[in-house]
Amino acid sequence: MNTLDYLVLLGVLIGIAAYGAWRTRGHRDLRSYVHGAKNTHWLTIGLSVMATQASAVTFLSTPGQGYESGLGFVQNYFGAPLALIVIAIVFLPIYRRLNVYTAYEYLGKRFDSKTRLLGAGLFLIQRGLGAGITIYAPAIVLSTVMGWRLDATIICSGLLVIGYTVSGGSAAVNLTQKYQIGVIFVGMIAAFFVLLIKLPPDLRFGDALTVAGGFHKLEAMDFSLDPHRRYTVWTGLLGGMFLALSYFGTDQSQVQRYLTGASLRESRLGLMFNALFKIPMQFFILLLGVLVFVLYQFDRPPVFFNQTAWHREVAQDASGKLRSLENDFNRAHDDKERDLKNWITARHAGNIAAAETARAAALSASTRAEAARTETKSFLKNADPHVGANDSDYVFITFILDYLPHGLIGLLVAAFFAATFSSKAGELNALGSTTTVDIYRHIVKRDAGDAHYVVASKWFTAMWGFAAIAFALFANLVENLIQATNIIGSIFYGVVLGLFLIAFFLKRIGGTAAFWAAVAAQALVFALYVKTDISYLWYNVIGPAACMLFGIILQLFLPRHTTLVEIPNAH
Amino acid sequence: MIRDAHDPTAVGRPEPSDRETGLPGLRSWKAVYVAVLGVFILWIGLLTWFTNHYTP
Repeated sequence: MNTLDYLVLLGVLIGIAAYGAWRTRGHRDLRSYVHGAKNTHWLTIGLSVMATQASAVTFLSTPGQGYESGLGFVQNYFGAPLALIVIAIVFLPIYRRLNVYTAYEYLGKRFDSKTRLLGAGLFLIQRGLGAGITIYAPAIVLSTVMGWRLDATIICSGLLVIGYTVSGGSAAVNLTQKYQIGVIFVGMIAAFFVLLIKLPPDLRFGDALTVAGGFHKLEAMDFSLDPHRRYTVWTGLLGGMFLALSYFGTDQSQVQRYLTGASLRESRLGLMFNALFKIPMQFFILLLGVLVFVLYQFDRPPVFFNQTAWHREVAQDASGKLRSLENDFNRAHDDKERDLKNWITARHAGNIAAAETARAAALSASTRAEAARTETKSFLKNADPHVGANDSDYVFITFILDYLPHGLIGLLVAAFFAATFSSKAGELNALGSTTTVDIYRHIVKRDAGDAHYVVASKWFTAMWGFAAIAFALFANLVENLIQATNIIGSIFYGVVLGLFLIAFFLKRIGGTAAFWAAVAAQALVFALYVKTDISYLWYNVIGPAACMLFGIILQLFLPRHTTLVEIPNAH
Repeated sequence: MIRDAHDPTAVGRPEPSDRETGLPGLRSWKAVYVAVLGVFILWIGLLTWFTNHYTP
């Protein structure tokens, strides 16, 4: 990065944060601090919901997934449109009609205090852990690649987010997210066009897709019923739908976004915006990774994408094993490149037999290259367990630094930080609100004035921000970062969703049955996580199903639940 | 649906602009949801075609 890149980076990030803080200064009552002025347009809500979910992990790690495994990860999002429709029809009208601050306040109204606290507590645990990952994930990758200090990167970015989130509350989060997602879109589209330009001149876009398909990178759909496969159409539709139902319907960081709408209409349209664009957006990001893969078939990539770790280990490798593996990889890659060019030439000439022969040779060379890469990863992991065998998070940033012009590099790095800030701000905002409304105001201090709760909310937001920074400073994550985030979410989300589904649909079940059903279901999900290797997406189905089943059974042995007031049905 | 009586003002308050979608050609919410589902099914179909077309 040069001076121009740093100017773009700092200008974009500080400019958006300062504008957000300035425009939304001076909230004095809790409702406007937690929900903004309730005048938000549907497009702002839609972008805000999208920005809260799409963290920097999405934009750094997902292209890496596309590079390594192809488009299959897109299936993870198949359930989202269905879930968003259910939320727009059932969840949203009830939240708005009850005029709740948080989703867990609804549990208190429907059940009792202990169930409200359980829901809020599960949210605070999983979102608190997730907030640490949100800030750590991009910091570890960007600091490694840029040569920045990891602790300074975490602290500086964390403090900036804390600053404007504490200052402006929900309104600042919504406003800044709108501009941040704009920067992200511009950056990713620019990267896409640079990729197209950098592909070999005689390789048409259709050829690029053919090459990717030849290496099984374009298999977006997997109809396998094998429960051990992580991403299939069925895990996406069922597991993905329940994950999206819990995330968008019961996670306060999302509920808070769409409750800022000027009306039910604005909130609904914001959700439908996401239902329409979630799958194409994820497809586009994965396709970027696939195209980076194609580019690196014709332009030799590093044998290990975390180049900082690579150079450090090579300097310490007296045996010369790493250099030898690199030579094996380079030879295999050069063979593959030659065979791929032959394949494309034969295809253009219509020589099917020659094309098939060349493709088989390319696949064989690719297998040799992958074997050298796998051995390199294993060697590096043995030499230093902190390096981590998974370098896919470094693929996209390596491409950006190697191929993008100055200025655009700064914009893309700004986009990664903007994504961190947008999701981080949504999380902090929700953590602070939930701690204030569901814990502090509900248990500790019930009868203070609004100004007191606004100050308390600001303190709790800052406290969660500092906790996330501390977690990120001491975290040592080596798995693929987006999967780590989703796995943590899936362990807790299902049970919280179960509580809400009981609340909405099983009218005869009372608070005590729902509470103990949720405790038992959470224990079951933990046991499954520890003892089995089924895809984590299934926890999102098992958790709510177990919670509802246990609730029905427990209610049989408990006194009949009595209702006090009917809530009108949602339209 | 059931609730206790902590917040009596919350019951039955109509939302402004609830029934109007404000979208040209999609006047009811049912039509909006059907359109979103239609686009979703279209995406599934396109991705299936994409997978089959580019799988060697």
